[in-house]
Amino acid sequence: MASYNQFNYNYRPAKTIERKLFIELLKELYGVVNSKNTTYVGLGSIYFTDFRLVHKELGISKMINIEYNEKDRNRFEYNKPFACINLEWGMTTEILPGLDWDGKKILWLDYDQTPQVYMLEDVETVFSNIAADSFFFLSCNSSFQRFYDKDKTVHDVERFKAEFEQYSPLEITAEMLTNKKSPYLIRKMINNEIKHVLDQRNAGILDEGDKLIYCQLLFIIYQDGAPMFSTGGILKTVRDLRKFAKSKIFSLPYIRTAETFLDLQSPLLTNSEIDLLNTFLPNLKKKRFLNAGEIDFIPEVEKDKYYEIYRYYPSFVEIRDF
Amino acid sequence: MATGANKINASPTKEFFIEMLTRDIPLGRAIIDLVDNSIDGAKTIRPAEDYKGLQVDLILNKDSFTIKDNCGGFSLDVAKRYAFRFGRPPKEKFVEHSIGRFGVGMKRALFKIGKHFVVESKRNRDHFIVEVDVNAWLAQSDGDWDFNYVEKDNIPKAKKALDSDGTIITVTNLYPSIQNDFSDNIFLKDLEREISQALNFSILKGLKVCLNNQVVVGKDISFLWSKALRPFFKEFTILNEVKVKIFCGIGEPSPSIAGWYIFCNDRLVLEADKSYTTGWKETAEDQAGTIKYHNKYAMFRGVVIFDSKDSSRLPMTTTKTGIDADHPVFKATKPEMFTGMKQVLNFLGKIDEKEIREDLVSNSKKYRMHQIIAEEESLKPQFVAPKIENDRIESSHVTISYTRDRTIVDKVKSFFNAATNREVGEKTFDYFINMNKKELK
Repeated sequence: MASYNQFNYNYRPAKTIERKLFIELLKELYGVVNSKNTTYVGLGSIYFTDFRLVHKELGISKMINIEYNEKDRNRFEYNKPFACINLEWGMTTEILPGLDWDGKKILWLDYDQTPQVYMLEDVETVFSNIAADSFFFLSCNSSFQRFYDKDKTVHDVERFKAEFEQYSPLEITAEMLTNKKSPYLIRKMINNEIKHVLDQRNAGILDEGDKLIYCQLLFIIYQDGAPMFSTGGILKTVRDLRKFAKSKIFSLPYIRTAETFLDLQSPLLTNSEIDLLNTFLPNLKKKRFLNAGEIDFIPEVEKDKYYEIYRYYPSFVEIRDF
Repeated sequence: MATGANKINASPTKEFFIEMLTRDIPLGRAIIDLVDNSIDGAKTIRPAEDYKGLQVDLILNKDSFTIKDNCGGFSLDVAKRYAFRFGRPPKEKFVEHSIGRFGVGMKRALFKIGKHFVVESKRNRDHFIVEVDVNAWLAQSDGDWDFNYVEKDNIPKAKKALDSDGTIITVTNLYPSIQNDFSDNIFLKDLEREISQALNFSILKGLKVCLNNQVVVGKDISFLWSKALRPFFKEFTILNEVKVKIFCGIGEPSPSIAGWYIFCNDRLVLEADKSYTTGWKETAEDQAGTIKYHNKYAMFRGVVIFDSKDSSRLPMTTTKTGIDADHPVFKATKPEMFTGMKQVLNFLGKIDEKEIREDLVSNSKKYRMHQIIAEEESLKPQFVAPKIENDRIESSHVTISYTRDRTIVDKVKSFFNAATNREVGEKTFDYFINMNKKELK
């Protein structure tokens, strides 16, 4: 069953936060006006939430949605929020190789499955083709539960190795497949594949300055019913990288350029509590915020979570139909 | 040789060249190496690469091997400086767009075939022969690698074979296994096939290649082509000097012909390849219809054409029978090849029925490589193919199959007056439906 029939993506708080971070980062990277040569490629599901945001917030009007369930074609056509969204029907592995790769791309491969070999093949296709200054973002469920042995005590590494073949890191262990460690493993496999493809492309580039480098900017995990994983970054030329390394983007609190992830935890708070907490924010001193007397009835753990993500925290309101 | 204090002799031996290098190349390919030299000669005298009137004759029998061409020959100066050296000296100029003239190919081929050879060449005013008795050459002192030549009027009349510019090479005193091969029809047919494929582009440009007096007809790769069926095409330049063209599409189903074909300066160096080198993966779980070679993909055709003025920039092995997979030019080409390949394999992966494959063939024309090249401007890095309706998935009908005793089936067959077992199955099934109409409603 397609996952849009299981969840309404609009109401997953961590996912909403992730989307807001993504959009904010894109705005910083690309601005709002300079997007004529940029195409957004996503897996929008019937809600098209990412597409709405990308078009409204960034003004990007070249958009491609890849969708497998062609049986639901009418439903997708109906739910398509803007005329500029082009629906491509098929698996990502089928559609991505044949995309028109001219110009900059912003891709969000937001898979609803657990890690699969085809995702790494998509990474290969994307990085074989994308131009410098393109943005790549990949999300999936991070569980390797399907590799549990019969007794469900440890993960079966041999089965993992047989399935992931050349993508499996040499130093793979059963522990790396646990939910606690799997985000590191997925990130590593993705980044290894990106490096492999870029090394090949770079072998054919004479001018050192023109060589391509992938610069990881996001590494996010969260729980929205299931353990979720995302990573992404921008492709830069060596020439542009020096200048880019000095940009203010790196001071954004959610930027993760290495192996430490950002754990998006949604606080459990009422709307009234949120209104109250907001009156104490922003506050450069986290401790002072947590200890403020007026809000001491709210559990510290929830306040702590809120402090980290309050700017991106969604507010859901039920609108009654009178 | 330096044998003084603190010196260790690391120089090569002649035996190494004769015994080791010759093992690395199949006989047919060694012979094609000699034809390559003729083609490089042709490129020198016809830079526009119109080879009409130029000819290479190969005569193979159990006593001797001869290759004769009218492709311009080579000068005494070239012979003295590098044609007979083992490896091309780094500063020597080269024939543009050649296939590696006089690096190792000629010597390796001659040493592989026999123990006595004569090379005669005429170019403008130069005319000379080099005659080598391999055993005598081996008996020369260790440091003496020289061959002797005679020129012009000093060439004995009986040995002079050329009247006009060209080259003739004769090898005698053949090794016993070579004698066997040269008198084996299967070997000769195989050589004909290899020449027809490896040198197809040069043959298309007008070069006539004859094997034991039979003209070799070029064998081309062909793609299926129609309004709705166009190969993927991408063109680019790597490291400022190697031009690359990639074509990817489908041809008639054939497991032996399917795969990648790679050309370096017109010369086929990899044929119908379905290995890891060209992107076929042995993925155990064939999930998203990915790239493990399977007869389902017997229609896949990929062609990569590398072209460079300097043949040393091309990603081929010295035997020209494979790709140097570590070469930067090949590395940089791979991502583009794989992008094209994935498009075609995704399409082929969806075809479940033989009839669909047959329809594709009957609804398209067969375009040969040179026709495709002529149309390349209309092609894009997108493989265009008709949409496949997967009947097997969408159909409301299913197949039932079972086994029953032959004698009973034959009785039922005559009862129904049915022609086939299939008809027996259908009629008995329909009979059951008719008998139970009410209950089945």
